[in-house]
Amino acid sequence: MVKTNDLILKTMTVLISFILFGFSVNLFLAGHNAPGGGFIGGLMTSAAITLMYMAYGEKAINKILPINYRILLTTGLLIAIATGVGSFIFGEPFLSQTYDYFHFPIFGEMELATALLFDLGVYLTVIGVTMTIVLTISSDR
Amino acid sequence: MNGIIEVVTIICMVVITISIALLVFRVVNGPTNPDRAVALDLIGINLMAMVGLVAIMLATSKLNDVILLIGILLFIGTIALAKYIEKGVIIERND
Amino acid sequence: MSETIDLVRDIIIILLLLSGTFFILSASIGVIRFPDVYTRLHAATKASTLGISGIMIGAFIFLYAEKGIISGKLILGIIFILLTAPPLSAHMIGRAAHSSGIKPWAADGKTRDAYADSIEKNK
Repeated sequence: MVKTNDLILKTMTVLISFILFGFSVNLFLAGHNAPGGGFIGGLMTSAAITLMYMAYGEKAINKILPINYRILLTTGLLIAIATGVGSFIFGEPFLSQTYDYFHFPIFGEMELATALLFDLGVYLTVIGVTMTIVLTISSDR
Repeated sequence: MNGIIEVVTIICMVVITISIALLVFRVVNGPTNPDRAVALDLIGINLMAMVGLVAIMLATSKLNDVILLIGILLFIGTIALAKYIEKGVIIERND
Repeated sequence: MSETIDLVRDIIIILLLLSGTFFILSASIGVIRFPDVYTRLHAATKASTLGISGIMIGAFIFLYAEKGIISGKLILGIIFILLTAPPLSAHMIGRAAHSSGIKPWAADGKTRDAYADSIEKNK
């Protein structure tokens, strides 16, 4: 096993992972009217975390991001189910979504939809599943 | 839609298709594994150029996400391939 | 007057697209024809800088002229490719090829490998 010096990769990862996190948030908020949504945003976030794992090794990133991805997966599924069940309160069928226009001081007129909450559940679930798969395969000898 | 730009776009798409076909030969026939990694990297670059030409042809801006996305996934894939060829492990365990 | 400006703009777009396509095609011909990994890597990085830059700047000018869209993501794509593909990917692949034991090609059969000499000296 060769021990090499990864200085270029480690330096560029600091810059590139910021671009990836910003782009994933942009894709997540662009959803349901333009290309994007919770699934692709979650995949981009897990790509950024995978890049950090590849550059710095497993031990360092486990110290920086101490997240249990199985708990993240369960939280995401519970949020997605809760937005589906929440439509029973208003007497609507399961998973009914609605939207409305609100006025904000800085952003002006904006459209807010309850589909964003469902997308948040999908986002957390995709990060949990992908990182669980990657870390399980990489820790196998 | 300007006529001559459309003709030039179609010519460029045909040339890039020929270029991808040449690279597939190198992927199949490469003598060593780093040769295949180089050719796969270049196929991804050609796909980015192809999506840019399709965006010109359809005159839309919805495809700009796709260009950036192909670039990011290509970069991460190439880094993973290079680390696998060099060390045999992709995520180091530091122990 | 406005027709002249339109004509010049179209000529600029066509020149950018054709030069980008030329660099990409010559890069893949180089990957087919060159003798070993390092020279093929030299050809391949030409496509990812000059070829992608030409086609993306052509698409940017076309979208701005035709639809009035200033697309920041195309510019971000060019910057991302210039930042990652030639410095990082080519560096990683080249070092992986060297450490997996591929000798550099030489026309007279005698290879001069300064990197291997430096590794030997610092061991």
